[in-house]
Amino acid sequence: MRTSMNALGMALIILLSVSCRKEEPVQEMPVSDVKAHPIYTVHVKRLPQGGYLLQCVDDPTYRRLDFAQLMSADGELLQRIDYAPIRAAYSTDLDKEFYITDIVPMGPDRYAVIGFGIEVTDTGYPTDLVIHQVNTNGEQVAEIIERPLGSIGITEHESFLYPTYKERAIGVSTPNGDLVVALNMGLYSGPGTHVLKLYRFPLSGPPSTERAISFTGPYDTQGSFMWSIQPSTTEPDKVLLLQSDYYLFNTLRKLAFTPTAIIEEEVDRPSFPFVFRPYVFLQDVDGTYAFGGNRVDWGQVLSGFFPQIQQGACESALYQQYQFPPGYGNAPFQCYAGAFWNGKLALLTSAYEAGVIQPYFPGDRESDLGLMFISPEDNTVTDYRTLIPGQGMRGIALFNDGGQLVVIGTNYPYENTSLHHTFFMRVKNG
Amino acid sequence: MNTALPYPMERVMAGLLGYCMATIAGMAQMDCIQRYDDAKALFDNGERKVCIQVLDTALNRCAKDRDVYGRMLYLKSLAEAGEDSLDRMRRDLERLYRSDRHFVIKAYDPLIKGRTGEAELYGAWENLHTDLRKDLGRWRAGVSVSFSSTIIRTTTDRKVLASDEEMDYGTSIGWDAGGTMEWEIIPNLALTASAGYGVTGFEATNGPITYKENMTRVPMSVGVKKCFWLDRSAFVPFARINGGFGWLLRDEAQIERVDGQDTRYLRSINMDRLAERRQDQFWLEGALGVSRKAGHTVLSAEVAYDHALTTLTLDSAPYTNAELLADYYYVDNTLFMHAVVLRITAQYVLDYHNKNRIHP
Repeated sequence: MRTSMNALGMALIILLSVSCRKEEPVQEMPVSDVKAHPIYTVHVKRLPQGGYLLQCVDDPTYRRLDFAQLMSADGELLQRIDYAPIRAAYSTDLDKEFYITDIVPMGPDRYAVIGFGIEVTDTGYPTDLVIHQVNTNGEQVAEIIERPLGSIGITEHESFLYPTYKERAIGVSTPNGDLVVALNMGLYSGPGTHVLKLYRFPLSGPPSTERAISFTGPYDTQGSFMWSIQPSTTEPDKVLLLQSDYYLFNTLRKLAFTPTAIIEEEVDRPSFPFVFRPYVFLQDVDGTYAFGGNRVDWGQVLSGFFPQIQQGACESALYQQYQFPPGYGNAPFQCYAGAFWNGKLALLTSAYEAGVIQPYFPGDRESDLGLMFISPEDNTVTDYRTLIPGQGMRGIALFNDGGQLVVIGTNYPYENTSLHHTFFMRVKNG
Repeated sequence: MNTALPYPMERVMAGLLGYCMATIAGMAQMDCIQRYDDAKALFDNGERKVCIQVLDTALNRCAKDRDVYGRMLYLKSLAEAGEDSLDRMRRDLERLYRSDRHFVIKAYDPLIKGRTGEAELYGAWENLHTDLRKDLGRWRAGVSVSFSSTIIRTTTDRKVLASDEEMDYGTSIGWDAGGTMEWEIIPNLALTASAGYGVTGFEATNGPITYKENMTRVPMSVGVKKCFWLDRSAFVPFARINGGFGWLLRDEAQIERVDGQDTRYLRSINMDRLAERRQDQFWLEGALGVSRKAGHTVLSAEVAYDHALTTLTLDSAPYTNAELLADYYYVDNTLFMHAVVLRITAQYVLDYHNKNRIHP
């Protein structure tokens, strides 16, 4: 009888201890040097000379790039390259418009402003790839480069007013000073006429070495997405292009430049349907690739390291890597930026309430800004830390600045307005 | 047959010892009274010098019997007044006061009425009390009330919204009240200690932001106080140096942001900031003041400067309040909270120095 009473007591104690156990709170990671500026940033690049280049819009409703903002390494705003005079310089003919989609730093005081030039005619919208080179003061420093792409229809033309990742030309500067531009655009002339093209402009060499290549998909008539273009860290004379079709079948290409052509050396293409937005694509110094982003339908962060491009390998491996930080259950996560840090992949995340609207979580002002650390050994989450909890701050960019993580993002600081501001902060190691 | 004693032997012995001691004390008291009576008889016979000699001898033996000791000093002072030994008279009157501060000499006392030196004695007693107004005693305790005006010093210039101006820190009037005690290790040099309860705070603004923070704390201090006797004044100036320690009990902040070019109005909110503050605060205090005695109560007023040795803010805390950071664009600067303090103190003298100080 006593034995059974002891057992009953022990069971009660265990039951109480289990039922009273709280979930461990998520630890915070301290930040410092927080600064905010009344501008709305949609994309950030690191400048070779130090500091950052922010691409900004005046009115988020239209999502049209309106200016580039130089930012110091300490988060202070420097010069602004206003796009209005650049557009005006191109649109001397009132029927021509310049839709700017990217800006590429080509040197300490030289930037290539890239976009589409569209002429409005009675028969259609002849469109050119346009490259306008300016200095830090926005003054034109070279002849405008125009390359005809074809004529787009009214639907595509309207899409330029509300561009997302579709209809985009993006560029990168190669180590030898060339400009490489990749673009995607749908044409009016019917199915199968989607333009997916890559150019190499020898800005410092003879014009005769300009090259271009067109790809044959995958893409869909509804458009495609251009995610990233960057030089290979192990083979600086080659570039990596990450792109996907409308259904987010991602393709990673390695492209080499010969005196006469651009060669598609390697391609990694998914072998099965898989909806993944690879906002983060990084190369480590040893050539390892790291991906981070979201599975769209579930709002979960996916990430992983891969040693090399292999047919279907990246996506099939990523498929297994839904990342759930401890303490958040099945809360939706968003990840727009990442960086290598202390031998791990650091992903900048926003954790949302389950009820908010996916995939872009518009209007959210309560999400937790945090960092998720992914191990290169087994692609698992080794740590998750909150930076700013509950304030809806959205991370746009993450950089490793000499061992210290720098976060740049946007937020809605005031509940009673739709004002967007850009914030900068440093993450203290700890 | 029960042979046990009704009381244990130890209790019997203790009782006997107590009886003996009481008897000895009683005999000593009887001896002192006898000596006083002898001296009084000599005084009545006009033999004041012999009276003084008898009392001089007796005082050494009867110092512990305060009543007889006082009466002896009184008689001796009267005899000395009659002998025109006024310095000795004054010295003995002060000894009398320090022996029994409640001793009263009445002008109509039959002992002195009509005696030679009556006027000198009474006048000296009156003058002594005037002079004793600056003797603040050896041990005193009482209460104090302080009003403080904070002086904020920052070592950082943190600003979140680039278009905001630098924070401008303003004063806030605080108060505290509590107990205080002083003990003079040598005349005019005292060790001090105090403890209390109070409220302090500060204000900060940069135009659009108005931030107020109020702290409730228990301040404590220990220090050294040096008094200075001025020849003809009953006021006693003093200087004091204290080491202070305070423990924060509560810390509440109120913040508001008004419309700006890039900002919008945000309602005023209150928030608890204790978790982002150092609860243990240390400071040094220097004070100058003046005291005056009323009866056996010492009233003091002083002006002090508190120099904070520790920051109010935690090193790791400026960016941890997410709501202040992301909504109001407010972060703390590393902040030292100094203060100018006006303090009023009332202390009762619990004990005086045994040795004469007016007529040594």
